Amino acid sequence: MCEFCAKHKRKKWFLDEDNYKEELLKNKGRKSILKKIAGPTLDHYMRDSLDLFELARNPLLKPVVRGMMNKFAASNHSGQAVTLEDAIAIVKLADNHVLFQCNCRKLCGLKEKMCCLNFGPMRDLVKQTNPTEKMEEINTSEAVDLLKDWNKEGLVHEVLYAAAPFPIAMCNCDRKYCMPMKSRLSTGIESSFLKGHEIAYVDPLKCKCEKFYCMTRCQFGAIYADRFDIKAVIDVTKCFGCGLCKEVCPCNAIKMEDRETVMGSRHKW
Amino acid sequence: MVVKINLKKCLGAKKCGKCLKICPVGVFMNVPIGAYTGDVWKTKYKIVPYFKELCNNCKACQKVCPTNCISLKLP
Repeated sequence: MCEFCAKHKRKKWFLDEDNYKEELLKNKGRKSILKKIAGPTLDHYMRDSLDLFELARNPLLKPVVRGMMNKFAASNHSGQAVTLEDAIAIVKLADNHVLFQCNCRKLCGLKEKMCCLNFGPMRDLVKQTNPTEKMEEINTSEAVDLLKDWNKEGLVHEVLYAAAPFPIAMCNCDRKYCMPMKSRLSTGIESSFLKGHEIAYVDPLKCKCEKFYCMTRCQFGAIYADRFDIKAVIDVTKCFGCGLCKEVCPCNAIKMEDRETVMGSRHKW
Repeated sequence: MVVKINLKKCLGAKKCGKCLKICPVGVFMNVPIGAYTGDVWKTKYKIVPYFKELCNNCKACQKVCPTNCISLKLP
C-alpha cells in the first residue's frame, strides 16, 4: 500500500468511493491547486514545476529540494501509474467525463490529441475559467472504449490527483512527451510520477514465444532478455507497474503482482 | 551532454519548432515566459532544454536547427 492508501483505509486510494465526493472540493489547498490547473494558467503552472525540478539538479540544493518535494507531494498535483483494469474501474467510479487536448503534447510541439480524460469537478471548472478551451463531453462507456484503444496504442495510464486523495484526471502518456514521467526519469524525484500498486511478473516456464513483444511495449526499459534461455525478464527496480506488457503476451506468461510482495520493489514508489 | 539554446538566435516554436519534434527522448519543452497576464494570445513562449539527463547525444537537434543555436557540450 502506498502512502496515500496507508492513510486512507487499507484499499487502493483511487478505488475508494469516498475520495470522489464533491465535499472534498471545500479544502482550501485543493481549491487553489485546481484554480491553477483548470484554466489558462496551466502552461505557467507546468513551467513553474519544471523550474523547481531545475533547482533539484543543483548538487547542493538537491537533497533539500528533493525532500521538500516528496514531503509536500500529497498536497499538490501529481500522478500514479495504473493498470488498464484499475483505469477502467476509476472511470466507472467517476462522473462528468470530459476530454481535453493533452497539454504536455502541446508544449512538446507535437500534434494535438484529445487524450486527456478528465472527470469530477474539472468539466465545470474549465467551463468557468476558460470557455474557449476545446472539450468533448463523453459518457462512461465511451471513456472505457477510448481507454482500451489507447492501451492498444501503448500509452501508459496515469491517474492524476489534486491534493491527494482526490482523482481528477486520467492521463494517457508516452515517454516522449509526458512531463511527469520525464521529470521522474531525469531527476529521480519520486513524487513527480509514482509507481503503480502492481509490478509485472514473468513466469519463466510459460515464456516461450521468443519474439519479445513485451519488450517493445515497455516505455521504461524494465524488460530485458535472458540470453541463455531466450526469455523475457523483469527488472523490478525499473518496472512502473503499468501493465502494458501483459496485454500483448501471446503465452499469457505475464501477470501483475502486488508491489509489496517483491523484495526489490518493496516500499519503493 | 548539456544542451544549450542561444535564445537570441532561436526562432521559437511557432516559426520553427523542429528540435521539439525531432528529439527522440523529448529533452525540449516549449514554455511560456513571465507571469500570466490574463491574455492567452499575448503570452510569449520559448524553447528550453529541461531534461538534459535524458539526452543520448544523437545530435539530431543540431542538424535540424536552421540557425545553429543549439550547442552540445560536456559539463
